[in-house]
Amino acid sequence: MTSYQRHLTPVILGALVVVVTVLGSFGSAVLQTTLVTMLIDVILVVGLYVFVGNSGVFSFGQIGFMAIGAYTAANLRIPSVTKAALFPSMPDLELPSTLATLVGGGAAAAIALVIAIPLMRLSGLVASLGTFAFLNIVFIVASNLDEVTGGSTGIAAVPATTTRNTALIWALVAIALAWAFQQTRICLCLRGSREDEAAARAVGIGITSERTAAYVLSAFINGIAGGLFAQFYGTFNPSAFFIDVTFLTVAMLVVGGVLSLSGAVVGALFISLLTEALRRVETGVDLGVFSLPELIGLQQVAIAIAMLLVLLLRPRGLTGGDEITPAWLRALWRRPRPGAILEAAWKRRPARPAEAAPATDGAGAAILAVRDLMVRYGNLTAVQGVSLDVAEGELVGLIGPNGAGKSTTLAAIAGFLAPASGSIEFRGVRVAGEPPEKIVRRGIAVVPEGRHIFGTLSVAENLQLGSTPVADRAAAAETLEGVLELFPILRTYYRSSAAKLSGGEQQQLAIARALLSRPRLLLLDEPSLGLAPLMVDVLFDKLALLKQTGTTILLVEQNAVATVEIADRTYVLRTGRIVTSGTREKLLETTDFAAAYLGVRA
Amino acid sequence: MTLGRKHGKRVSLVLLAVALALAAAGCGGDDGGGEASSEEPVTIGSAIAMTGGLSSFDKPALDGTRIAIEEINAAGGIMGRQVKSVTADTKSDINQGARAGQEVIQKGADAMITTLDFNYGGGAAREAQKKGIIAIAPGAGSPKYGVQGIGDMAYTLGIAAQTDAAVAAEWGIEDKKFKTAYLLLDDITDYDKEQCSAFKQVWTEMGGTILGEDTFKNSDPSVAAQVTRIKGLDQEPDLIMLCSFPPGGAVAVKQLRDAGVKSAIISNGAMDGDYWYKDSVPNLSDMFYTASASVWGDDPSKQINDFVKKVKAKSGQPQAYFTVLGYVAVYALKTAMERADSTEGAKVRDEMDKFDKENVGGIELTFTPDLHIDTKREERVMEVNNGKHRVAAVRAAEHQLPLFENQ
Amino acid sequence: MKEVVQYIIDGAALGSLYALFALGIGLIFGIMNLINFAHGELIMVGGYVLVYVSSPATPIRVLVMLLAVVVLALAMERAAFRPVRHARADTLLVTSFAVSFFLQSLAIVTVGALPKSAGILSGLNESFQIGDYAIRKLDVFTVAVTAVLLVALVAFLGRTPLGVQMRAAAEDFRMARALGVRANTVVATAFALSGFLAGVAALILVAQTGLVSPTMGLAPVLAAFIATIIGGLGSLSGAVLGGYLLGSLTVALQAMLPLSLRPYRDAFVFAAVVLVLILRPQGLISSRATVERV
Repeated sequence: MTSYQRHLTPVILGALVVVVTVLGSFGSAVLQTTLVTMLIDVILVVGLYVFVGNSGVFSFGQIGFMAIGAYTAANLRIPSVTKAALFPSMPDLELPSTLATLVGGGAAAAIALVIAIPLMRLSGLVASLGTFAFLNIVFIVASNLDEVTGGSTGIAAVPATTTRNTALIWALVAIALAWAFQQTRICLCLRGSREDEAAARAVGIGITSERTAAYVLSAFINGIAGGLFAQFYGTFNPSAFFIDVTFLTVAMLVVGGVLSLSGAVVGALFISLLTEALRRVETGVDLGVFSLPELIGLQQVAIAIAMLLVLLLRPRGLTGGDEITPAWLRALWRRPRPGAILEAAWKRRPARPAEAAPATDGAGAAILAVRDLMVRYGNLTAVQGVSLDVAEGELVGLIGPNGAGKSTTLAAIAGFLAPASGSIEFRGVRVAGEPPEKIVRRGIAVVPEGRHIFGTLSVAENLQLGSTPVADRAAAAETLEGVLELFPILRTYYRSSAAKLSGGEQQQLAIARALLSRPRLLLLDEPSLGLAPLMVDVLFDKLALLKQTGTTILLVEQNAVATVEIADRTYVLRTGRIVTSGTREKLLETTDFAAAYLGVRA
Repeated sequence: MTLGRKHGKRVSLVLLAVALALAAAGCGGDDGGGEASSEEPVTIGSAIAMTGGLSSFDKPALDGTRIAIEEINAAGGIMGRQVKSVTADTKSDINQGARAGQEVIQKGADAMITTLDFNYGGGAAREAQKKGIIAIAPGAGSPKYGVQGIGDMAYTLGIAAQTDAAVAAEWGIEDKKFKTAYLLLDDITDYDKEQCSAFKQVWTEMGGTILGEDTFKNSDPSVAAQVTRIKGLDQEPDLIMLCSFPPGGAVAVKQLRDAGVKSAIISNGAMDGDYWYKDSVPNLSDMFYTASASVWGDDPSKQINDFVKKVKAKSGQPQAYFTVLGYVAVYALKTAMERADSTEGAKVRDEMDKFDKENVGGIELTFTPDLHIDTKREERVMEVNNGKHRVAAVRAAEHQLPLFENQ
Repeated sequence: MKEVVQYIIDGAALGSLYALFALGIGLIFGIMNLINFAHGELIMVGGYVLVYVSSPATPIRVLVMLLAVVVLALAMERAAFRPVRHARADTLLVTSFAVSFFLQSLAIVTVGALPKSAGILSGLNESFQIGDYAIRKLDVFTVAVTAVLLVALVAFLGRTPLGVQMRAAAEDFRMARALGVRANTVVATAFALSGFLAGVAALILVAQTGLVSPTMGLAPVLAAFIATIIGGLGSLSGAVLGGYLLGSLTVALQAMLPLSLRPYRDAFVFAAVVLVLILRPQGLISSRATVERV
């Protein structure tokens, strides 16, 4: 996709909004009101997205900015005569409509700048609560500061100057602003922090100022929406800017897809149209072919069901978090996916057995037989045509560079991923696609990458969990003893919190824990990752000991040399396919590791 | 269970298309209207909450409206023309008011009845104002629902907070010879704030003492702190002015009685009905409130008692007196239209502005060109004694407090 | 002043109620990283079941209600939350909104929007007279029940195998599954427990207010949301502490603010909440699970 195509997104979104508006303009007077409401909702949700979508922090307070915009614009538009009667203490200032709207947005942005100081350093749900507090404070102040806001009764007599076209223009402006912001470096940094705040901080992205920028822009857009709102309905009170609208706009954003501007626009349009459609159906609709009866109260229930359905079928929203580009649109009705042709080509080749030594070579019978395994993540094929065997008592290595698909293969065997095709047979039983809990009970235990020790539990509790699938208490106790003998450091820390152990110690705990389920096959995913060299040596010594006890092991590792040294046989994986395999001697003497690993001629 | 990207996109596109189609299905509706001929029915449009929280008040009013229309049609209609009722649902959404108003206008409404609240009914009323037809709120308690807040086509049959408060205070001092009072304010609406403030003013003017005041929120599950404050007074107040409405007001009454506070409690018409104490405080006593009519069979007006019997036969004991006001609204329109010999908004308005203690459907209405809310009405002071309702007194407010800030 | 002691009792009572709400929310959050806004509707349904089940024997009414709410909680989990279990936090959040909204709308359509009075445990509305102070029996009941439930929950989570599994799943769901912990069992148990807590909360709320209404769940769930976060996400005792803090602060402000500022009471509460968040973002009792190790 060329870079210019990326920038077609705001154009497409704007066109979508314009088309819906134009179509609706042929409708009844009542529909025109709905159209303006819809356009204001688009602006609100776009404003919400500018902060929530980019920063990943859920703000429940953006409607508070809408309120500020509305009250400000209203106060600047009420005719002097009325103002003197209703709000004698307000300044006698009257501005033209557009300017009032802008000032409303500016007031909201200014307040956002101030409250960003305490709020923007918070993250996650804590930040959400902070923004929710802001919403409530705005509501309470608006309800009680009678001289300025009219109290609970609110404000009336604002000239109704917002037309459908005004709202449409502002909606397009909002979309353009949001898109422009998305191209700035500030926003790119912000999005980087969205998924992993620690990582972002580590490369020097000071989240706070980036978030503040998004927050202020978001407030500005919401303030504009508020100003338009005030000048459309002409009257409002604080409850127009409280929980109901907040939930509605959040729902619109998430249903559309919280991660993209397209999601914001699509979500707002979709829910607005659906609400309108259901409203009509509710009062009985004559569709010519049949009539639907009156079903008062249907609308709210149906909207909730519709939202639930969308979320269940498309958890990432209607747009899936993607921006709508010409390519995205084309993909809607064109069947082939990128890579489909290649995939078909693989299938036409004769099945090739792995170049492994026969399974009965020296060791016992094959307990794990993987054939032509293919695993995909969406459109990406991570593992392709992989076949391998593990015989009882063997330590088999699986090595390869980063991204080769080693962990994916392991995950498929352990049951965390369902393979797209191929078979996994464990002790003669096909186990591909079964969930992890079942795989464990079949006798495969996995020690995943990163150890995943339960830091809030003690070492003893971690071990106890390992024997979850074991029904025989005596056997479990015996295994525990054996494990503690093999990893004596665990005995030392037995009652301590597992978080207190060092990295290497935690790795031992992880392996010990896995062994407690008395597995027939132990899968290890990069156990040496992140360990100091000394600890790596200790680890591999333990693995050698483990092998001597007769445990069958499939070891995935980046540390190629150490693995090949210790393993009976090793497979080398690159870009999802096995490129070579063999015993230690064969590999070290006949294979060019650099070529095998990186695919380059040394 | 995700359908995956391939199907998911299609699903979303289909959903969007369906939504568009359905929305368009109702498009291009005709704008109604046209000249009313003398044989065409007089259409009364109710732009009210048929669903949602406010429907509990609006639907009973609609029942009253419909009974009135039946009665009138049986007696020959208005100016010989049959009366027709059309409705549109605001869904208790303040922003849907204007839209509902537009809908009933499209359906040919000659006059409009809206939600009985200035904010929630104002949107529809403004549409009526634009179109030049009368809008009546059966029970909006804010004087803003009228000339000052909406326009000269808007009328409310409700009672202003200041009037309610005056009646309550005058009754307390003159009828019951109370000396001390306490204010308990649910500060969520301006109506309640104004009521408590006006009560304080009248009570002290009449020589009574206010022992103290406090506020709470309608959504509070517990008013224990407020109760504690009352119990901490040197003497128990004779009367507690409770400016609130259910559920908050109901919780307050229950918790006051649970704590052993024996003071008489007086509130406003929003507390009419037994649904809010029947199972929780079944023997409720010394509870009072002001209302425009009694739906418990003992109203001073025979017409209202007969009306209540009709409602009982149709749908059971009315839960509150708002149904009477929906009934009265139609009769008000009938009276004014027949006097004006026209359904033209401006002419009907002129007749309504001449109402001076005009007995309409059992209630006396008074309007002036400047004031479209009745401050001279005879209110019923209702009493709940041992869980049963009865009319304790009938009074009109003597103290006429200013209704607007700049008066 | 004698009132001060009475106010303290009032604060403790309100705090217990909020703590009870917070426990239900905190439990699910710990397991699924989900603030279940539909928890309020569990309370609402519990309230209505109490109203509609007419039986002279209070224990029967309560048992039927608890059963109904637990079943609803399980159904909610199975139908709405299981399919999105591994979705992003925002999807989970909006799913819970949608469920909440659905149940509320359904309630309004079926039983009407008007509140209904309800009488249960009316004997508890009387007070113990201890010298000058009146301690409402219902308040004592609330404090006692909350304490018992908290102790029971902590014991369950700390001592039973299923409890250890639940805590493990709360920390690292994937790993727990890799060890054979059944995901569905753990999550269903958590929901059933939270349903039970909601049922108890409904009982106390109805006994206290004497009312049920379709929107009665909103205020509790918002209070629980606040309490859980200031108390410390992932910590049950934190949720309880947060509830007590919120309740006490509300009563204290109600008692101490001058009349002109009293309408702004909740604004002050929220300002205090924000202060707590800034000074201690991890909550008052931080669970190790919430601190991200790099």
